Amino acid sequence: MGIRVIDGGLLTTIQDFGRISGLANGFSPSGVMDTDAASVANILVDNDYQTPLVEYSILGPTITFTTATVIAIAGATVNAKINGQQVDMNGAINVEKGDTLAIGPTISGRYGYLAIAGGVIVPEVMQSYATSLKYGLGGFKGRALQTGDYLNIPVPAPAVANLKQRQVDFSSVVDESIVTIKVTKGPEYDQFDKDASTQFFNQTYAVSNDSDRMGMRLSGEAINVAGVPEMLSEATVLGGIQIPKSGEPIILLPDRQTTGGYPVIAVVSSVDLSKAVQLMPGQKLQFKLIDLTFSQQLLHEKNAEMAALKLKFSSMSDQPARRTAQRLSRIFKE
Amino acid sequence: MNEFSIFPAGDSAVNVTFANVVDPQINQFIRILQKELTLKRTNGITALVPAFRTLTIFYDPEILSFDKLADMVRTSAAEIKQVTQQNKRIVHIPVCYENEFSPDMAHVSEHSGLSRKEIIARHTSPDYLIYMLGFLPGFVYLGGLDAKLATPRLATPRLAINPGAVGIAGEQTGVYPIASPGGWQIIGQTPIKLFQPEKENPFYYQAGDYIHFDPITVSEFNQIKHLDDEGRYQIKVEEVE
Repeated sequence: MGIRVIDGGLLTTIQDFGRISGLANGFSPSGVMDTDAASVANILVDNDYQTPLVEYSILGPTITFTTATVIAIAGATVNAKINGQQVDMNGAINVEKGDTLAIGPTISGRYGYLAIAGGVIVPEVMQSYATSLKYGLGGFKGRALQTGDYLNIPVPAPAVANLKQRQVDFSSVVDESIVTIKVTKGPEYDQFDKDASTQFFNQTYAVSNDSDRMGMRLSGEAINVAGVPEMLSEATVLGGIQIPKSGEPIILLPDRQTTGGYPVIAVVSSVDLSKAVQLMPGQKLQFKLIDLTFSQQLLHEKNAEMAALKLKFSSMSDQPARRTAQRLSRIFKE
Repeated sequence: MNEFSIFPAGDSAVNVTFANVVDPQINQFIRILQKELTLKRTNGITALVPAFRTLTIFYDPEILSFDKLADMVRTSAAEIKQVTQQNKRIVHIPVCYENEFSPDMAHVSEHSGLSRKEIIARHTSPDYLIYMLGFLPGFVYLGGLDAKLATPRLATPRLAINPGAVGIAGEQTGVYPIASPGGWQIIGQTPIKLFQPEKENPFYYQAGDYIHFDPITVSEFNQIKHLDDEGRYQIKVEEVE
């Protein structure tokens, strides 16, 4: 019992938080693009943050459930419908056997998530469930979902209590005219001269059309890298901002190669990665340098918020803790 | 010697960076450091990725602070008194250099002025040090190619290079574990699968090991391929002091 894919949409894959076991061997990590939205979707249905879920981009999938379960949708804004009836994002939704969910096109943002209670069942490959499109491994048959695919989900679905109260106010999609993305210094920051780094932080970039799960290319005035010495390849990091010879930055994303030879001027702060990956082609952004301690402090605060949310919902389903949960939710409301 | 700097690489990784040169001794120091840090099983370190002259340490800042990690790196590095000669682990990869597997042999021959026989002899003589892996799963950056064999990349890269293809690009030599576009001069092919994601250990080698190419005939190629497909081929691994 599970879900049948009626239409795979544009690029719909099964992801978790990525595969770090192969990093030292050249295996690209993959994993969800927007970790915040994926975590929220999972938390809403009482899954662990990293439970494998469905990620879609630009055009979401249409699927039929062959068993009853509970789902949640988060990330890019969509007008999702079940049997033609619009459903809310960022909430837990009951689905019955035979229901058809049509996610439709993304209205703003690039990556959306569909979490299913208990997760999508796919084989583990090198300690992860993430789809690696490049190597055709992991996730569902190593590829994007397409019409006719049939995926298993847990039957019966794990009980998820108090569906109506499971609603959060959350979005990693921002529509400001110029989005500020916080960064910390990259490992090669000191190799750029003052003019180059000033130029990098003062200018407004636009997200290029040429952006995908590997990297987000930015267009703007070229940074002069003539003064930066040639370097040997080294490990890449998520959110690393490379300045290649062309002088136009590339933000490295989950499907990036594990090593690279271009200098990394800055690295997107973990707290702003979700916001960054949701930026659409043409959208404008600017980078703001913050120090390492502050970046880690912000991450700590965000993690604490997520943990509180997780506790709030999971205690709803936990019968003995029901009363505590009610007390907690009162506190949250106050 | 072995001086390094520690640079944050974002809020969840650090680079331990040595001199910007390809040097087997620096590279070996990096691997010993990696081993030391691995042995300490520090809570919060999520991955260690060595490269030519860097060790990138991925960590969870909720568990381990940058300062504490940097201290650990300095302490561990100081404990490494000298880069002692470690045992050499040599992984033998059988390679068929015959016509059907070596589309660019004639070109390498022309460029080097060496006969096919001489090229094979020179290519199969060294133990190549694996400096690092990257680019593709199991793709090795090797040191030790005979300078006479150095040949520039193809002017137009191929759209697909077969898995197992052995080639030369400039002063580098290596083998493609999976299919990929690429501009390497292909001079041979191994019949064995170098990347086996279904296995608990998907790779035969890691950075710091050595690779030795052993020449085989077409009929040996077919035999080994058959065995490997059935999961019965035993790759030869040598440990030498």
